[in-house]
Amino acid sequence: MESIRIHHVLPYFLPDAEASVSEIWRRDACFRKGERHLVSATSGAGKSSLLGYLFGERSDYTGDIRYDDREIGSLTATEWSSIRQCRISFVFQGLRLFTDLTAFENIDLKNRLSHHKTGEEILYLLNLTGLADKRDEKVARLSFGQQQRIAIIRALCQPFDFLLMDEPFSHLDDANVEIISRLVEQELSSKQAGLILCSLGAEYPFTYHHKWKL
Amino acid sequence: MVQKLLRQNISTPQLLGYAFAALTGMSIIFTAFCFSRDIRPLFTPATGLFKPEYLTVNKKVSLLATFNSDRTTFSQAEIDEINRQKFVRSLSYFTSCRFRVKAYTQPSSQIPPFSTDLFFESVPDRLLDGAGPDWRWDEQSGVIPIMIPRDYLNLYNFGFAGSQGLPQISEAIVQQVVFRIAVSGNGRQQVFDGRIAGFSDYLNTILVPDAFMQWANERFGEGATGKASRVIIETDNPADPAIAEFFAAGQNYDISNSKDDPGKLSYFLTSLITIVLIVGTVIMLPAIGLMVLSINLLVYKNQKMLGNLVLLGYRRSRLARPYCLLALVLNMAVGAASFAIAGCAQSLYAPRLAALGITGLSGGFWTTAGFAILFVLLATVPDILWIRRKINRIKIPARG
Repeated sequence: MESIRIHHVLPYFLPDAEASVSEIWRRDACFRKGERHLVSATSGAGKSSLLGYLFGERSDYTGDIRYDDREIGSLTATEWSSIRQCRISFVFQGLRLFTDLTAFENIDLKNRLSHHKTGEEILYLLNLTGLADKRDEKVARLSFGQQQRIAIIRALCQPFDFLLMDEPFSHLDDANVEIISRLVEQELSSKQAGLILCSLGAEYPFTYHHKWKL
Repeated sequence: MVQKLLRQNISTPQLLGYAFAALTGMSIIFTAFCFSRDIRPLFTPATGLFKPEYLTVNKKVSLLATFNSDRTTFSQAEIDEINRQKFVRSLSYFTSCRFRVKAYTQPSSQIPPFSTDLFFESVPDRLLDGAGPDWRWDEQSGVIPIMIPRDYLNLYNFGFAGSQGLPQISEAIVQQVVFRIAVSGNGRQQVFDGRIAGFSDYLNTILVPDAFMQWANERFGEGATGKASRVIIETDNPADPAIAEFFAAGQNYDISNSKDDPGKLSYFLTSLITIVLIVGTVIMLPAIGLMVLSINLLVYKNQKMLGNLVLLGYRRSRLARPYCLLALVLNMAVGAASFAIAGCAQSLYAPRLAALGITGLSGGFWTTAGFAILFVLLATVPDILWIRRKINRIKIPARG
């Protein structure tokens, strides 16, 4: 997948007045593979909605979104599965972890779809993010910051052309942000993948091709 | 790991409830099916001289009919109607003789002298497979083979001879006796030798070969060809309940086939088995309903987890598979247990059937096994379709 384009997209819930000051809603925008994009907005402007639309998680909008030339409304359930397995990865704001499973099991659940990383690589990532001792802990018993790190590692355990991140560092300290940003940057470079990161205003240590105000 | 997630919220009491209801329903259905297969030999009697696949039909003789012979003959419309019935493979007529017949013994013979007026009828020879090589008419030899009902001989031996101090005679002896038959009519008369060539169990008349009848009617016959008063129906299954139903429907018909009238018995037993099968099915329906409700509840409770797995890239068919497998394994277990119960039931009624002469029930057993496998698969298909439908329609939850 080389690009994601949006054309005149507007969420059902957004009043026209708010949309008129946006650089994305009801405009044309293009995210290319290999580029880094920051989308910043105040709370309630529709950041999570935008990423949800791009990922096919939600469809409460008008306008159209295309992967290359393919309108995403026409994708079948099977095509969505393979896109989510190896084209687009997503760090959800709500994380969507399985709280009954351990940290390692949550990551493995994703990894076993494409066998992208070895068990050792996963352990290395846990170690790098300071979670080595939490490996077999149930996610329900971890802090939100720790859960965020697990969700990010999980998102890296698959091949992708685009990585979507929705306020991924909101509960992390600066040291962890630094470590994880570097890790993400390495993965993006090795995959020549694109990044679309939504935040409330913080920019985080990435070098962006474009910064959008939503 | 996915299995571990999907197993959440599976309710054992609900599954047990379903298993119990389904076990009851399937046991009843399999047992009834097995029984219906096992008693089939009752309705396929061994082939007699006159094969039981042939039924003779005549009209009832009433007081009115005594004075109007039209009432006891078949009109063309009636014959057409009978012929249209599904159980009729072919339809033949009795041919009556249109000449006078007198049978007598020669004074010199060793049996007591007798002389009697007789009549003959004939039916197509193919209906008399068991008649043997003697059953043919040869104008040169001038011997007429005759077939009489076995009852006639019994009547003589056990009724007449016993009470009148006459000797009883065996079938073999009767077949040795040669007597004279004088045929007259149409201004001609001729004397033939007659011989009893066989006995019929099912056909209550005095038969001669069809060839003789054609020849003699042409030569001695007087008057027009009579209307048929008796017809013979060839059928694949004389125990077909449709036969009893059709002739019981007030058409004023008398039907005679084998002596124990398997049609009515079969009709009764088939109705009984049908009722039992319906009861079994009626029990199965709420069981299937319970399964559907359990699936709904399970998918509802696991909606969030299933939606998250879809977002991770799991295919919905992959998520449905363990549930489908569970339904299949559960139904197979219930089916196997029900089949075992049907087997026990069979061993309970086997001695009673043995008393009726039916042994070797393994045929019914294996047919039931095939039926059980088919039934379990068919009962699982709705479950699987429902599971897939519910999982395909899962909405992705708004927040993880």
